[in-house]
Amino acid sequence: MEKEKRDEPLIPQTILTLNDDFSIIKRFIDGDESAFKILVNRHKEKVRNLIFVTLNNPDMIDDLSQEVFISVYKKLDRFRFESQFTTWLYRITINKCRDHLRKVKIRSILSPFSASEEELSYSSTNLHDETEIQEIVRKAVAQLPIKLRTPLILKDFEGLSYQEIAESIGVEVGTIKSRIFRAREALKKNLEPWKKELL
Amino acid sequence: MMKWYNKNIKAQLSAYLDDELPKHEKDIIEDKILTSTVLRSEVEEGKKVKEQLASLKRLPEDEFFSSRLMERIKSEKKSDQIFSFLKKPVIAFGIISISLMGVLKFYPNFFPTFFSKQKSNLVDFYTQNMKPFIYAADLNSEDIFNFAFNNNLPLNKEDRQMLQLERDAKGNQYVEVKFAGNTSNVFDLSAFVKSFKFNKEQKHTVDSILLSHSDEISSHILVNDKNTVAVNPGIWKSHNAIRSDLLAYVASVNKEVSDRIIPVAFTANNVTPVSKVSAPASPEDDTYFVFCPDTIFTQKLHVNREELKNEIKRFKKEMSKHSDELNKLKRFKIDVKVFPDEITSSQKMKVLIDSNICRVQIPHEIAMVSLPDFDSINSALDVAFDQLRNFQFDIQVETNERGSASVSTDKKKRKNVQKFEFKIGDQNFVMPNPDSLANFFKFFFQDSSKTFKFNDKMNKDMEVFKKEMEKFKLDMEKMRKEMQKELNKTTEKKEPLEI
Repeated sequence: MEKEKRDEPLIPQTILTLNDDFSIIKRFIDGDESAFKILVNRHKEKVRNLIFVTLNNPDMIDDLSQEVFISVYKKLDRFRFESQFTTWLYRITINKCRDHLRKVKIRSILSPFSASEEELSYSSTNLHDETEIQEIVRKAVAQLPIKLRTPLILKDFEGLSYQEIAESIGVEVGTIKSRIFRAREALKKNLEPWKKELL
Repeated sequence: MMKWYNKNIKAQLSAYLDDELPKHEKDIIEDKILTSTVLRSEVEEGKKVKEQLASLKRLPEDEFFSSRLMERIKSEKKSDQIFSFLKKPVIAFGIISISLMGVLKFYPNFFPTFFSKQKSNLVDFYTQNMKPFIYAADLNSEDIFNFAFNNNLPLNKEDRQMLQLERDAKGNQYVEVKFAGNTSNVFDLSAFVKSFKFNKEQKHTVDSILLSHSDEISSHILVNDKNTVAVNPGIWKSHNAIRSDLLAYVASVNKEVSDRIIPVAFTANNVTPVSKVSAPASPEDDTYFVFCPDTIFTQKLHVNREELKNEIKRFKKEMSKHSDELNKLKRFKIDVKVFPDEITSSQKMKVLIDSNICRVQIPHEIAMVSLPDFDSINSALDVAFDQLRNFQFDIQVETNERGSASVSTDKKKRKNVQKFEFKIGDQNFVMPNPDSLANFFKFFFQDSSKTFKFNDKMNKDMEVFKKEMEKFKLDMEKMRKEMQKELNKTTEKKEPLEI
């Protein structure tokens, strides 16, 4: 614990760059366990927010985020420094989200009487509250197929480039371009009842 | 084409909004936007969608996330360290082997006891609340006739579940429980009654003979609400008893017919209703084949037959009084006693399980029927019943042709019916006319589905007989032609009437 306290001020968070991710990882590989905590602190919010927007389920954020970082912890010594750490981290996060959705789907097949997916239920007349708007957009995004949902979130919410998204998901840039276009078209359809207020 | 163009432009617009187009494509799309109001509104709408997503509120920072995570990693590491040696397959395999050896050394009966306990749990579960079959289906005379003649008995008419008795060429007996079985029997009770031209009273007697076996069948089949069916191999006895009773009745009513269908070795005088022979109780009587959704096993189950008889009597009496409260009365008081320590696991059973059939071969020690001289009459019963089928198949053919009887004429009935009698081995056959005779031979010698069991001497006789019959057939053909000629001549001789 004391060692952690000593280490943290050496690399102030505000001036860290891409190279710093690499140097932190190298320190961890060399045996400095505290470096991992720094890495977590740098990226935990990205992971938590990505999980939240992707699944739209606040109950799962903490568990899945922890699982993501535990995977990172176990696999970090095999990191090849060929791409950005965030690309690798996003890939792990997306895979965890997909696994979770798969489990939910199987559970819903086995128990057909469980609660069905939430539907967009706000009437178009009472959209005065910002929270309601946010909620509607989140639900509209959550209704998109996971294949379209992920690239759209990574682009518009996380601000990644097509190239970075392609690397994170593991598909061609052309495919990402097409999926983002299709995701936007589907989202427009989902938001059609609130077109006046939102679009 | 237009649709594709629009879609392509929209996809380009989406990439343009993301600033992901190369410069020359960006210039082209910007030109198009400048000249088209539709595209401009599309761009505006796309920007707003992007903004909506970008403006989604971020979660408040979780300051303690990393601490919780590090704690979890620590605890996972600890448990990993404790069991890390198990990750090496050789060590894990070694530990498992040593512990197994230890268990087997000090508790050699550990696994047999364990499996036997599991077995008895399973047996307990599936043999709970077993009741005689009378609960599941009310058997009528038609069902019992089909059981005797066609070897099948409906267990659950709604679910088309049925019990089938089978015997292979070697004489092994089988009991089958068929799911979704088809019960279309070619030779049924009405065909039987029609064949022997039974009158109303005789039909009633046949019904009462059949129904008198209902209780016996009920005690041989036990069922419960767990979809378990327990069958006592002694059901073969009931099966044969019904056949014997029916045959005895046929013999007593119509001797002429019985002479034709019953083998000489088993003449009408020897036909003894088996139900009249008291069967001594044997220890195997309590062994049941239990067919349940998970497995098939043999188990000793005891049904107090005397008590069952009384219960059925009570049931029938009450039923006639209160037919509307039938369902309530189906609660029999009789219970089936299970012998938990006597799981007959040592008995080897041949079991065949298909998607809708469970078949069990009855072991010889159980299949042994403890009735006096039963084996000798059993095969005769089979032959008799086969011939009963043949009897029904051919003898019904009659002719309306008029002409002089060439072989013999049934003068008693004063009909011009030609009649042919012949003998195969010890069996007598009577054919009413040449056509039916030809049909009979066609059926007898060419039908591959028919199996005839004769010994070597009989086979040789059959060969000789076959040749003689061929010759006889040719003679008959010749005679028929001559008869036709004669008939033509007589008609030719007739002169037209002069008016």
